[in-house]
Amino acid sequence: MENRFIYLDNAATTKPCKEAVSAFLKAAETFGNPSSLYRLGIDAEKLINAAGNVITSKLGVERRSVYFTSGGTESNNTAIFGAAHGHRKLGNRVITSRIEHPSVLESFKQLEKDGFDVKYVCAGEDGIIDIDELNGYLTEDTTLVSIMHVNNETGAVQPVDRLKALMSKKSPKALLHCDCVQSFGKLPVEPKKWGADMISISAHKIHGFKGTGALYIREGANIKPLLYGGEQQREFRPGTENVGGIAAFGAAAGAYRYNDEEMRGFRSRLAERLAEKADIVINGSAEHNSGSVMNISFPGIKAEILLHALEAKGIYVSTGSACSSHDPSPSHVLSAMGKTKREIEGAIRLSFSGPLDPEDEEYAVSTIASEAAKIRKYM
Amino acid sequence: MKEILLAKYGEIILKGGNRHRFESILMNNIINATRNVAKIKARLIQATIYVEVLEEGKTDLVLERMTKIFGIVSITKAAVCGKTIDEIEQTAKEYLKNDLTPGKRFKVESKRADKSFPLNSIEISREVGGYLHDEYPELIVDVHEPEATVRVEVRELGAYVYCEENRVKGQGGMPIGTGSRATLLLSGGIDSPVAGHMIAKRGVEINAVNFFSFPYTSERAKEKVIELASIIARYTSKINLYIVPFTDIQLEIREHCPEEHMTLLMRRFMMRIAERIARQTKSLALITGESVGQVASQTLSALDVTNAVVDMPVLQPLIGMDKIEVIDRAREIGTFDTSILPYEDCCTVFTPKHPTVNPKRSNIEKSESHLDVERLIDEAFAGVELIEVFPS
Repeated sequence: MENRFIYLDNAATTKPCKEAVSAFLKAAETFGNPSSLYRLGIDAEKLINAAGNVITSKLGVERRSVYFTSGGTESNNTAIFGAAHGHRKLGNRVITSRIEHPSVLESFKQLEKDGFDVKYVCAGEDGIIDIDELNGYLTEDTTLVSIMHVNNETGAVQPVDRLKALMSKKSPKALLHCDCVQSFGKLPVEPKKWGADMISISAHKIHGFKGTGALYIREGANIKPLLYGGEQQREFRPGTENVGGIAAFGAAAGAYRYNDEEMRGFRSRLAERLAEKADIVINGSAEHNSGSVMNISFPGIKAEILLHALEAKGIYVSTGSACSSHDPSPSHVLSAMGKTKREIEGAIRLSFSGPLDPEDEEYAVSTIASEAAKIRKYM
Repeated sequence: MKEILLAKYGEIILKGGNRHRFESILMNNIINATRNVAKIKARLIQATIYVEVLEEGKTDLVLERMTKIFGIVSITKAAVCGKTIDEIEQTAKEYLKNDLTPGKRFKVESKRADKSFPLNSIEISREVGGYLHDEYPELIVDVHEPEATVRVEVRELGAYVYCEENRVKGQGGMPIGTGSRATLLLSGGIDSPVAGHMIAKRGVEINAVNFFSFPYTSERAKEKVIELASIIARYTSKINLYIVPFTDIQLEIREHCPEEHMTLLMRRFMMRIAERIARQTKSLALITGESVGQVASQTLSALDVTNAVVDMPVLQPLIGMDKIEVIDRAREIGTFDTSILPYEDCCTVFTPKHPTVNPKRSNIEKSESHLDVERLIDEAFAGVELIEVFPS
């Protein structure tokens, strides 16, 4: 029973898969600078292009429209600042939601300081943004709408496919950016179908390496670059490419399998089994869910204690909020959903990359329930 | 040009017959503290320590190390030259050219320890001062309020030239190893690292005890304590850190005792366990970071209740200090930024809402009688983990 290792924090990061590792090793041998003119450089460039092709075919977009970045944060920053500043002459309003990842939210807060008129859309108790509220914010001079696809704390799927229709009526100049870091590889990410102008994705959430991501930009979207330097990646994202990380990203994207219907079933079953043994609240929609994230509140328990107690039992989870008397930072996502303080303080997040085998599932359910009961006794 | 470090020691000079022992411990400490930095040759002549750094470009690193060695009051870099007035003048001109900039008020002070040198100290100062003024005519002589004091020392092994204003302050205090050993109750907070530093400064070797409440505090909290120990170890060399599993004791107190006594009961357990570790490691005292009245558990009656359970001196060097003074010290020694990381005392599970401010021994003892004290201490003691912490 001891020495278990059940990693339930796949929304934070994932273990690199063997395909990614071997692609990385191959890139280490093909160590040339992809911009060099001789064979070793060309071979490195080919690795990048091969990876690019895997990713663009998953997204259903042209190779020219995808740029590799250092990860989700850079992709989000580039999209938001590049669009807002690049299109400032067209208007000053930009819109996002209250449940975005900090790399989006903090970027918009910076835009506020830069004088932009920023609107933040609320979410309902199901963790899904209020699309009517968003519609109300759309104006002629709106230039950017940034809404995530799958929320990283709850797994709730946002109605990203319905936004462009509203936007084209009221804000024809506005660009649509979707942070798809949590959904890429899990749910269909279809910028063409949604009418999305920009899409952020990241490698280490799908068993690639940290430090690699990508940004899709619809051709002609006229985004201002964040970095200046060499002529790599059509001068839009200069800097010698992270060949190993990119090659591994392509390999991981090609190898990753995820069945969202099966995972929604798995998630619901787990929720039911936990509810039988413990006093819990599941946060966010079960129906509109990626199936990869389950946010559970144990009202009255401090989540961080439960996290460490589970760590001692070989189960790795995360909390939305740090539990410290000095730094009370409640989850902004759960707050936006109108959760109570007790629910927020007692919330842990389990996140999956695939289903657990039955024995691990059984162990996880009974251990989480029993550790929570132990802690509750002293609270 | 050859450069050397000259260090002065302080209080040792007041020692009588055992002064030699203090000196040799200090010299050993210097060798040990610089071992991983550079090869050095250190000599002690007439209350001055001469440190020759034998590796190119490492002088400043050795100097930095020496500012953390207890017993040393000040350190300065100096140029070494032969014992002729010409050489001294040439050396001063060249070595101090960045200090003797146009418009600066300067003077020369000399010391002649080697009485065979033909000029006396006043004559040396006059000669060197005149020469420097000729070479750098824009200098202004000012013997009362100089901005640059050129020092010339003619000693047995050679002559030394440096600028007094470049002298760096050392820690002062007494060399570690001259004052037995004490055990520090090291939390993740601001106070206890400062308390440890202050006692170590008096020459006392330190080991440390930390009480760990997993899962109520995290592995990060433990890492933080290790980091604090490694900062203290910059001054003391290696520290043995004993991590005591404390959760079960806290839970038992929580279950069986009145909430308002919780903190005091915990502290009594900490003192008892620390004393046991102290005895086993041949420590002669405990060190804690209390200052009177800072929190409920640091009133005089609370201190009486906690200190009553041990039978060895409890050193509380911060006892009369204000928080703000402690913070200043913590900044100086470099522990503050680590101390304020948030990972300690996760949640308030073990902090009573209304702690007793003026406890009586008899009341606390009555609360404690609900617990099997000896068994709990034995169990905690059995789970102690030793971590050897090296300077960071």
